[in-house]
Amino acid sequence: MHISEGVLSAPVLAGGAALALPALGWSLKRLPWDHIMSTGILSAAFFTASLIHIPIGPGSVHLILNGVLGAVLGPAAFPAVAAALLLQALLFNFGGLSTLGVNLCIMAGPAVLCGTVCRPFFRTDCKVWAAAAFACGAGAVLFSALLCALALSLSGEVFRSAAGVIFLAHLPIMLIEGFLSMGIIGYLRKTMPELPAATRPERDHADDL
Amino acid sequence: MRTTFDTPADSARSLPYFSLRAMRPERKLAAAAVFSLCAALLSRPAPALGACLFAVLLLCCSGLPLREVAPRLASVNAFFLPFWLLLPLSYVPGGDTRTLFSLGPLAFRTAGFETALLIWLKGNAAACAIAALAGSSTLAENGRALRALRVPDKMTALLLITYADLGLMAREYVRLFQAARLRGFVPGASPAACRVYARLIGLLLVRSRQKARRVEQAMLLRGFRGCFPLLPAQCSCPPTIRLRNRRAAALLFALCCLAGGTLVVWDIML
Repeated sequence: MHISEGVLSAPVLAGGAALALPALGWSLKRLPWDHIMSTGILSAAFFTASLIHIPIGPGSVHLILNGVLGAVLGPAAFPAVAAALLLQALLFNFGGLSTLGVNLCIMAGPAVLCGTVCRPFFRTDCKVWAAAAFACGAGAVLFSALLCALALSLSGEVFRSAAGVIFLAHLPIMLIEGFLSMGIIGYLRKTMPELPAATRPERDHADDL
Repeated sequence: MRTTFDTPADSARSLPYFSLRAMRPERKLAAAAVFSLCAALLSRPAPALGACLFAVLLLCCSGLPLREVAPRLASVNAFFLPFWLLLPLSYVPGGDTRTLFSLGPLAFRTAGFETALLIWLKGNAAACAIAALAGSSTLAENGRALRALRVPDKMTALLLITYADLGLMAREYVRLFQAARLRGFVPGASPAACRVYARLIGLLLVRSRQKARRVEQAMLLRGFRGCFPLLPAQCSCPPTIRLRNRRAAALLFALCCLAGGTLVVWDIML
């Protein structure tokens, strides 16, 4: 999903950084020190989940799970994704340093948006939660794919066809992520109902003790 | 799934004192960021080739083991493979119908090939520079370097905590996955397999949350007051070599900035 070094034009890189930095600063400011540990460990769990490859035919797809990340972490998904992207750049050379801003917008923006919009429905008793969970997972991948295609298209006419191919390639992943999100949120509803938005700042830490 | 997450520097501990491995990580990280940004600004193949050669030279000088660096570069080049196939076939700028070669009805255009070559060179230049400069420090050193570069404390703490628990979470997932396999789970994209994947991931999140809660409570009991102290960097080098490495790191940073700046100016002048 995230874009490697060398592809994007300078204005797109600058625009991505200009959007990502204030959002990252805002969410870091909103994230209390007490919750850094749980955000970090949940971020590690999501990083691990994103390494899962699901075999489809002769190939395989890897999970993104940014919708569930946004639902579980809320706005803290911004620094969590930033840490994951930085780790991927330093450990595996995925993405890169100059593309961090754009990739953060692509991955974390839809995560926070879909997580924030869909999370209130997760605690309802009727089947609305299932539709909201599907929309959260699938919507985050859809918006991420759209942003990725937009970043490529804005980098030059030459990348328009590649942007279209990348967007179409993410449609099956969108469906898989939607169903997986439904299953994950359903499991969390039963086993740990407080987990979605577990690190929201307004929550009193004394509740845990 | 991999369960160990190391930078090439972790397996290159036996390198001599005077090497990229021993230089100050904040200078190397800053040099990597500046150079990759300069490489991203290039728009002509000749300066991009220059950037790629400079980065390969850096990688050769780093002395990092090839078996550690090769998979990183392979993953970068796998990203560019679709561009090599798509751009020569699809990109026809206004009036430029030069064809490089044809395969039956498929015409591979020169303009698309040149663009694919340009982004491949730029991408590899940045990847080699990051592998040589950031990869020659351990993740813990890079975390300290980010703090020295004025990245917010919360961000560096989050990065280091995420890294510290990465191996643990991966091993936990592998354990859960093997247990599911023993019970007859067949990986795939069927609805039944998706349900199992969802439960595995859900269980992983629950375990991680339980672990986070235990760690948070332990930190509060030990008087945590919102600060994540990092131990100062330890160096076993003699002071003379340490000083020489410090100067060499400053020189390396200046060299990377100079090379990047020169290539950007060359690109503009062409």
